[in-house]
Amino acid sequence: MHDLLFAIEGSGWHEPELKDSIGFRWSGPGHFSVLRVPAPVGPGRGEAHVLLMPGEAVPAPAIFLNGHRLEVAPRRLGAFDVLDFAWDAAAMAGEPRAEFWFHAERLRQLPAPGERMRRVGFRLSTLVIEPAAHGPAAAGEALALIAGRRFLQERLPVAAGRARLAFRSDGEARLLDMRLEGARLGPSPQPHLALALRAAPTGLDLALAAPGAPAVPLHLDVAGTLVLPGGLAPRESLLLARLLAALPDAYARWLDEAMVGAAPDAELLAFWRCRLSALARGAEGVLAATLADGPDLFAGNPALPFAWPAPGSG
Amino acid sequence: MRRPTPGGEDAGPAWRAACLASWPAPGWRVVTVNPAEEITALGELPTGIDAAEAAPGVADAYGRSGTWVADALGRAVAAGAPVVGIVNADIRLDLDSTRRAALLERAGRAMLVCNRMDVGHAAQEAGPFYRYGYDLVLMPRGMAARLSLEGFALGVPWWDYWVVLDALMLGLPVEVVQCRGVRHLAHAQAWSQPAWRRALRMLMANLGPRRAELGRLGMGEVAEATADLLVAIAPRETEGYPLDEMMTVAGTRFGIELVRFAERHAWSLD
Repeated sequence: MHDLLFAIEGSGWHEPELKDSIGFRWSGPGHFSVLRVPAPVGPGRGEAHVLLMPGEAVPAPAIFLNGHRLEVAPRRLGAFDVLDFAWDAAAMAGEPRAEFWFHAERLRQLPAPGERMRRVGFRLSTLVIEPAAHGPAAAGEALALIAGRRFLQERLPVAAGRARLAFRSDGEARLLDMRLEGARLGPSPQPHLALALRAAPTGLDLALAAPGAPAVPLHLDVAGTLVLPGGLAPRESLLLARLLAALPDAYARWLDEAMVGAAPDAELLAFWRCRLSALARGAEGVLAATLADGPDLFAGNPALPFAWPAPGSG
Repeated sequence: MRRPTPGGEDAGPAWRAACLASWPAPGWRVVTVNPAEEITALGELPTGIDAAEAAPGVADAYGRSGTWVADALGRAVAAGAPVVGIVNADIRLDLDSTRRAALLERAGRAMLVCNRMDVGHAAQEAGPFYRYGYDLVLMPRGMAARLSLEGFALGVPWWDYWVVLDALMLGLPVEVVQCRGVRHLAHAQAWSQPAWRRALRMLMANLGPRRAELGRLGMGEVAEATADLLVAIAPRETEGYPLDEMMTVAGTRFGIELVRFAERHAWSLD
């Protein structure tokens, strides 16, 4: 049970308020509000408790989980409009947490307590989520997780930096230009990286480029398998895979910044959220397979700078 | 019990009768503990409910007559049942035998504190749960005997929070339950701010000497800092501006911190 009176992780919410012993936050000032909460793996169900005042219209925001649009069934419960929803295993597959998006269709101007006018959507009081079935024991793989996370941080450190996004289309294909500022691959800062993504029926084509270096082409097929290019040293390939696995977090940070006051195309945002998640899962698959069966990473020196392919090598 | 309707009628007597009638069930022994001045007004009670005269002193302490929590729970403990509890007088239990059995089964292992479902009229099918209070409390008899409830009164805020906090600080399991069968006819706030702060002072007087136990719960820095502030200012509320307001704000925050902490172990019975 997540009470919006308390600190939250996410964006697109005003300060908490208490009215008649019921706590809530107004969504806003944009149409798009994000709430990130821990969640068990697998399918589940939830309720969003939206507080209404007498005579108010039911707001009916659209709800997404990790980029998957959820079917929402509203019901009235006293002063609350309760939004019931459920999700299948695919919505949480490989996701470290649940990222809920609330897309309010209508906004209105209301005075903030003691302040000037502000744009608000709906009052969210609590978000209740529960698994539909018991998942694996929480501590079952904890040791492997801890060891693996520490190993990745020490031997394959990456940072995606700050993302700037441009959404385009080319006929049927959807394109996303990601510009990463302040990224890091191993010990090497990458002040500017350009990542061009093209979503087509055959999968996802990517081109990652650093200034002065040739673009590195990558492909994620429809089965979710990531194909890394030849010409890169094993450690460099793994660092690139690590960077790709970090893109959903960069996308999330971009959402928190860019959605303030925005009126976004939620379906388009969801489309790319799902593609980036699939890309991250593909990258994690490459990482797992390479770490298991590839060259011994402990044999290399993690302090060596990241080596892009030489111009003309592609 | 008065519950004025929008049409000007008083739904209180009918609701009170419905509450009384809803409590008894096979295997459940019910005792209504009332101040002497209320006993005669109870009238004929449904089969399965006994009346007992409450220990005096609540009116002197809180400005309205009532029943000490320790008095009520002590009588339940003395009855010898394996599971004991308290239900507020304005709660109607719409619980069939299956739900009662489920509650008793769980209450044999942990303290159950149940949120009420607020309804606008007696026939309303569903309403919102009130998360910031516990109107039905059930627990193993042995657990009840360990609680320190002196100074808290039914009908005055904070007793239900203290029951939870006392149990948690003793290391006893507490579970929050939401059940549609624990129903309450919504009404305007019946308690006063002075009584609210007086009961909060009582809670902080009990909490102060057990500060180390609170720290072991891991409620978080804000909860602990708020408790420290309240322990310090509660006995000094009259020492000038704006300690009473600080108590109200800090007390509210501490209360919702406790609610959130208790909800880490929550389930619904429907």
